[in-house]
Amino acid sequence: MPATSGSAARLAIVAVSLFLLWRVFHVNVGLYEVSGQPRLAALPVPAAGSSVDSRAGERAALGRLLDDNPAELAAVLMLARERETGGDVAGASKAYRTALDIAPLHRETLARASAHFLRQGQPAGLELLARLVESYPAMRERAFPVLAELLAGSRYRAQLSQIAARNPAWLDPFVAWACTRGTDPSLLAPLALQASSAAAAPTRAAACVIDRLRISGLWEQAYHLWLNLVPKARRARLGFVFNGGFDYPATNTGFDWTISQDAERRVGHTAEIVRLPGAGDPRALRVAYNGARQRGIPARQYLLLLPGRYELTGLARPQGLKANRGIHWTVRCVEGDRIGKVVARSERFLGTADWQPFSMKVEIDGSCGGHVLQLEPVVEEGQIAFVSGSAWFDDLVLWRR
Amino acid sequence: MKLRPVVKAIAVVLSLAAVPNLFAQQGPAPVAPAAPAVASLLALEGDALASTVSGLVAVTQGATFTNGTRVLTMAKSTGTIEYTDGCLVNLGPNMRVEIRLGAPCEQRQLMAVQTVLDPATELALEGALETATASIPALVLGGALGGPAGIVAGGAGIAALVGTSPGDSVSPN
Repeated sequence: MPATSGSAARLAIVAVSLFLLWRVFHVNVGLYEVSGQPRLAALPVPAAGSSVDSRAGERAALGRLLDDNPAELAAVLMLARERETGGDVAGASKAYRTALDIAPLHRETLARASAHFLRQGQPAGLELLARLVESYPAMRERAFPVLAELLAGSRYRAQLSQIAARNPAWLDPFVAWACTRGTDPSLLAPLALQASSAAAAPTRAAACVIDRLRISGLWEQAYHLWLNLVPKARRARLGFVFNGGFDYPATNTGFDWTISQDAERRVGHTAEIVRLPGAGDPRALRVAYNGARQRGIPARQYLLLLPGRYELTGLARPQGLKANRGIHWTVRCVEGDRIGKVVARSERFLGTADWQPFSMKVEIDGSCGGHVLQLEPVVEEGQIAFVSGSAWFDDLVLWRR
Repeated sequence: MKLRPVVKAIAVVLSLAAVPNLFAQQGPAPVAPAAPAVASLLALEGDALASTVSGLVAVTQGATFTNGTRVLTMAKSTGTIEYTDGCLVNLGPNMRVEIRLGAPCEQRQLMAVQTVLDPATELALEGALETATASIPALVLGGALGGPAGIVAGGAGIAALVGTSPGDSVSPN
């Protein structure tokens, strides 16, 4: 009977539709909160020092929950924790893996599973922690201390390096975080290198690591890390003084020029790399003094020099430069973060003159941790200086003699 | 066999002590007419620098060096220094070596120092793995992410934890 089979088909369609409607309603209203989080069935809250019976009851309730909905994430997590506290580590691991299959990017699942696997010393723990900080930037503040501890130990360091090779978005913030909180800069150096690999200039995190290495006395590491972050085209001819022709903007990091960014009213000068008239886009350093008391250094560059005799040559053009005793370039000793005694000084610059060559002998005796080349007023240590006018410098080259 | 990493570490430390603590920027130019070339750079993959009288310059495969020249490799770069006496010194990433023809070949090889260590190298130098850091996640992760007390089995505890995750939708919809 065709009419009967048609009715049966319609009835079946209605039944299936009703079932699907009920399932959608049940899942969205019954199993999950409006927020999208799974809704938990009421479970007995364990009192402190729960008895064996009550724990057995909890387990039974958990079993019923999972029988009802094997994909209920919260119940699976609860089961995992229950198994772990009960000593069933393998069972707990299995439950966490199930939870990760259900919700591979769920925050608490990632957090708890990563903690579990790290407690077991399993590499999966670090991978999950990395996934957690990758997916939830808000969790970085909580996860970074763990990552720093793992970096300090040796068990996970190689794996962390492999993860860093992917240059995840959290890597640079992590290096910056760890650098300012005392993590060994030697451990951070390879991560900083990776985090800065895609950047045109050292990131703030990498700059922090370079500074920390230098301040720790690890000048060679600091210099080599910085070298890696110098654009390849500029590495063709680095010189003992980098960018001595002021052909590129100063990055104010590492062993590049640090040009003062302080307000003129506070330090009494402004310093900048400016274009000069002429073919080939020539540039030079110009420092303009406002006649007020001088504070700080307009331009400086840390130098890594082996013991020996050197000569610094360059071009200078003072313009209406008035000061008690003028200004000059010095090479000073650096220990840690303290800039110390003068090792060498140039002639003094005063008045007005066209571009003129100058040179200074520099003898490095190996008694200093490192050195810095800087422009400063000629003044006794601790005395104040007032300077007006301007000074231009170009083509600074340090030669080994 | 267990002593090998320790012996290696001691050898590297001795080699570090034997060379100046700073690298690079000294010595004659890579090709100096006054001094004969005693080594050359082979099989360069990536970037390398060498010291000259005015600082470091980039060098390419086949560059020749006089005694006292410092050669550096950059990250992800490797190469081999071949001396005129046949001694070969392999350079890995971020290494620095000083050309020293007069020294025994083994010493020259040990003078190649990695300045920015990668973790694998560092582990080899340490010679042994530390014991498990199992307590770290328990103390730090557990505490930071809700604490073991908060993860004690129980609907209320779990519900509280899950409830702290607004916006982390795991709904199948």
